[in-house]
Amino acid sequence: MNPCDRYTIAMIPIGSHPAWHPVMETLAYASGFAVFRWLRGRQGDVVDEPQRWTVLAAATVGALIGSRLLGIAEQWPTVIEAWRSGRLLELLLSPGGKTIVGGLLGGWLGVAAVKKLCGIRRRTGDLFVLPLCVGIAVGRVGCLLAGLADDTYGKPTTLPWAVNLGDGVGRHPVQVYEILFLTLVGIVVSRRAKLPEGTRFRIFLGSYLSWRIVIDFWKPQPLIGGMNLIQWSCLAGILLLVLDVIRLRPGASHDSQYSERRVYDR
Amino acid sequence: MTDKRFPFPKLVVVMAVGLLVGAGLCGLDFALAAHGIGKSTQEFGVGPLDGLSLAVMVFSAAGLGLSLAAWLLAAIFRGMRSEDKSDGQQ
Repeated sequence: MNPCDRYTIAMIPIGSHPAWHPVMETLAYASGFAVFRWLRGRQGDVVDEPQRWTVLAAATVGALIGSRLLGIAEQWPTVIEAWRSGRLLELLLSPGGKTIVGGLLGGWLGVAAVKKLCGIRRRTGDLFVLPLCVGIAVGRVGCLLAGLADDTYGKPTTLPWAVNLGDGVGRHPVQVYEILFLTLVGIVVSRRAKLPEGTRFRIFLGSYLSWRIVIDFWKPQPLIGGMNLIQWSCLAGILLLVLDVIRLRPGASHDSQYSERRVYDR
Repeated sequence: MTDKRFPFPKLVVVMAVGLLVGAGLCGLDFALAAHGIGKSTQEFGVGPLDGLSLAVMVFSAAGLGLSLAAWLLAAIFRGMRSEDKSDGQQ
């Protein structure tokens, strides 16, 4: 008897179907927004409502562009093939192909650009941390239930908690790992410690990007120089974040660093 | 930059989320499959949801483009008006 067979028997079967992905993705946006509204009502905000909606619009459009661009670029062998066969437009218009990392980085850069344009100087990201944790976690349930149709499944494993996504192969439940990680980050970041404005968002972004660099080694993706494109993007994002933290370290001139002013809109 | 008379940012958020959801619903499979293009339709089949998602994608993409353009124009127009006002006061 093959020593792996006992784990094959113990595999957790996931009744996967690609339709689960859009259902859970929609639920992810809805739950993220519900948490955001609840949190804003409870904690107040550092900017008033029109400014918050401007920031939210910049984040959403930036996330849309970033997630789509990186999602398509991530499948670079397909892009090259489509380019060669003259079907690049078809690929660009095709469904799916979105990434959370692209969405986070695109949203972050979009907000930074619009804040500069509008003269908003407060750090607005802290209020997005818990909604992002909840939204991504809910979305990852959809990734798990979508099974092999979604490109986020894990590599084969013989561990007792391996999941069977329909092909009879035991795989790392990387989506479940990520949900657990986000739960931990959510708990840590929600603690009532007094932190400078914007710190919670930077902790979240830095830890999530670092996490993705690690966990993506457990996903079968095309590699460039030993890492996939998402991991390289995470590395670029971390470098940007470090530069941002150095620029805004305590003591650096920034009028809103420790400001207590909050706006409460009901 | 924010318009107090018309909620452009809210409209942009709704349209962008609509497009994100629509893209996730695999709507273009329906159109591509009609022309014999696309592998995902062979894998999962084309369902009634695809027509709906295609409509969501098309309308939200058009709505997003229009609302962004209108927001930008409104901001430019308001900027010009405030410049005129300050010139008049001087």
